Amino acid sequence: MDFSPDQKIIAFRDAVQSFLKNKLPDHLKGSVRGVRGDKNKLKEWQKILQEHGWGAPAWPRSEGGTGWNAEELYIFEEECSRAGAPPLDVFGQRLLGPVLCRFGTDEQKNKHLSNIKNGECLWCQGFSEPQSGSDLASLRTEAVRHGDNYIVTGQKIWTSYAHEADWIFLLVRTNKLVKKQSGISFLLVKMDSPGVTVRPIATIDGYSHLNEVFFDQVKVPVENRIGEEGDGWAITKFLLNNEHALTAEIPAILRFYYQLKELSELIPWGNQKIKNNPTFALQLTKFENEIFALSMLVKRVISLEMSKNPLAQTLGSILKIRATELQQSISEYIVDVLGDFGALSACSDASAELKISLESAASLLDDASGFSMDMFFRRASTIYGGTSEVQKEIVSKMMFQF
Amino acid sequence: MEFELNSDQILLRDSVQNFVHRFYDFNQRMSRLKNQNSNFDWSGYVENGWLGLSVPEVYEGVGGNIVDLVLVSQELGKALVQEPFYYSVIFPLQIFLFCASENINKKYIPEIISGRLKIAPALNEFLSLGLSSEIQTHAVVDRNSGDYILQGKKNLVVGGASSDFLLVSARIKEEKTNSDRFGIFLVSTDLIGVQSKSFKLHDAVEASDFDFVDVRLSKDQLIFVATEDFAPLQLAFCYAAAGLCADLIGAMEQVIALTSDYLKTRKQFGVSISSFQVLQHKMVDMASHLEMSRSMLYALIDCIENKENSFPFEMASRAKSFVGKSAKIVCGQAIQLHGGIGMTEEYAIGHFYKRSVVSNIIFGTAQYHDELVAEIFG
Repeated sequence: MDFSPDQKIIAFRDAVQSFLKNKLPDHLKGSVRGVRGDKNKLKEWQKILQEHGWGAPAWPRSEGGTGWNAEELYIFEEECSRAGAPPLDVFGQRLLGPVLCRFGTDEQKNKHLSNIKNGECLWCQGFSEPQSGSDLASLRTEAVRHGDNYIVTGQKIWTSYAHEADWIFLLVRTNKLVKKQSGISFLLVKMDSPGVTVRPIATIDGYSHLNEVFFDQVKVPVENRIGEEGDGWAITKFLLNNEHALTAEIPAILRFYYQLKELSELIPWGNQKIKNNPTFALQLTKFENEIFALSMLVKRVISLEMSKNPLAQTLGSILKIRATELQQSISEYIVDVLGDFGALSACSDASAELKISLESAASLLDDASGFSMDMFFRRASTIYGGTSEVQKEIVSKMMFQF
Repeated sequence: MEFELNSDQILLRDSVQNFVHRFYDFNQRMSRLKNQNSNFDWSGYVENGWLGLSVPEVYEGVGGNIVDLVLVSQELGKALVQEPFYYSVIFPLQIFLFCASENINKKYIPEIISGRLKIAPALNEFLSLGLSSEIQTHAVVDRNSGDYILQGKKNLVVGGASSDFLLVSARIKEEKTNSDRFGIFLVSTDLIGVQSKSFKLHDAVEASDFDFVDVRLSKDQLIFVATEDFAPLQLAFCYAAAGLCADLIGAMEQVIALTSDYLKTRKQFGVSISSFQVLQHKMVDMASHLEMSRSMLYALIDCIENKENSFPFEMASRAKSFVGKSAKIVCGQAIQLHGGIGMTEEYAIGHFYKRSVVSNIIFGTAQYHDELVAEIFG
């Protein structure tokens, strides 16, 4: 264990900051609501990153990634978030990408990896089904082998950004006769394949990024299967283990924190501003303490993941539990602090109101209703990516063998 | 203290239940929302005599009491009706009854409870509930005519856009004396200088912000004046707060019922998820919030009915904070227990959550009231 100043890390942060200053165009900067922003901005930014050789910040060098360690990856994400860079396609970058690197054939890697790095292809994740949420292994979408193809029939739900995706990575049942986990395979399917239908799901946050995806006898070439038949569950476990540091979404937490601070300087409280309210100051301090601890926990989890230490799973679950609770408490607190403006829905002309009332030109405040939308969206963060209850089961079993 | 409902109260409660079962089931709500029809429809309430529930017979009302108001509010809240009974009926009518003269009441109350006249309380400002002189909105006396010239801004006036009159609180500046008086004006929304911006709240209820620019009001539009004794207006607020709390208690009841049913029917890992102890205990936590909230509401009513020996206005703040917070927690947990489906617009749980978020803001947030009571504020 060593915490002494690392000149290399200091130089690395400088390099990232300098890159962002020079290469992140103003028109791509902005605060993002929900998980990610405009598709075209994302792609444009992805191309710029790739030109700089940073098109895959989380992949090993051998597969065309940057090969950064846990700390470097964290610094890169932190600086990008601070600079307002568009969030990347997490499905291609952090979920499928590492899976291809680890389990893909050379053909599969050649076909897909560079398209992720240059922003040509966006991905979505086809895991959950209406009857298979927490019990993912009970999934029923089936893939029946017919010569050189699988015929896929079934339904996925809660598929984020399926409406923007070019490809989907899909968990399917290829064998109904064995134990449920053993009959699952991992398929890559092109979204414009005949038989694929995407139906948007209206959610209470109003962002409209969730979908149902229906597969009606979709023909999928066998070479689109990753690993062998029946490897799907092992690949899923690998993928979900990679997901832990992501679901903390420290960049989103930091974004909420900076928004809260800015609001506290502007929103009146009696004859002063909210930041002068002792209750507010106390609450802000509590948030700050939690953020410091979580930021370090993320680095520990990434480090454990990179060294393939099983403790990554336990700490990763704890990270998800605590970070998602903090996302919820900060986003709720922001709405509290907005007072009357917190009640305005997304379809109202609330933007001018708040701006004028606070006499502020800050872009943060342009959209009072956006803060509420973020709060409603984060209500789901303790549900998606494995509910807090499931995470606690994992920790309970792994840490205590209860 | 008696907690069981008497036969009249049971009849009243049942009649509201029948009404909402016929006109306010969730499918009907979805139809209204899809058709962008979020206008308030008071006709059924008028027919049933509920607008005049607490109004004395001398003003053509039914002569009921606060318990009747709470019973109705609770059943309406449970059905997630569009019309905000506590805001558009209880609050303005109690303001008239406690604050205005007999002449004013004879003139306006029958019109209101028959549905012919729509009134919205417009007391709230961004930094103040508008129940005392600590407000920005003010009126200056025009020495020549005796008229008042009103200037100011009121926020989050629920149903303001469809109202004929607003009840507007203002500081009345007098040149002769240095200390301002406090007054409530009956302001027609048609008057020159009354400007409004309307918007939808999260639960699809329409509200407005009003600006008053040089609005000229005659003397007889000033229906209440106070220098130090704000008790009548505060008491009206207490009734409205009790209505809001009852609405949220009804919402919590329904949310808990829906969630308990869902847990029993949803199967994962080959079993009903209601068999998981963690989820069972979460349901118990929710039920605890509900019963504590219900108790808090009764404490408020008790305080109001025994106001000679207590401070109902302070209790209203406490109840508003407690129940508002509890409802948000219960509705939020209900989403958690439903998983993804709880987040969708097609299912009632998310709608109740939005209602709880909005209700925690109207009449001041829980934090605002906690600070008020703790006297940190100002």
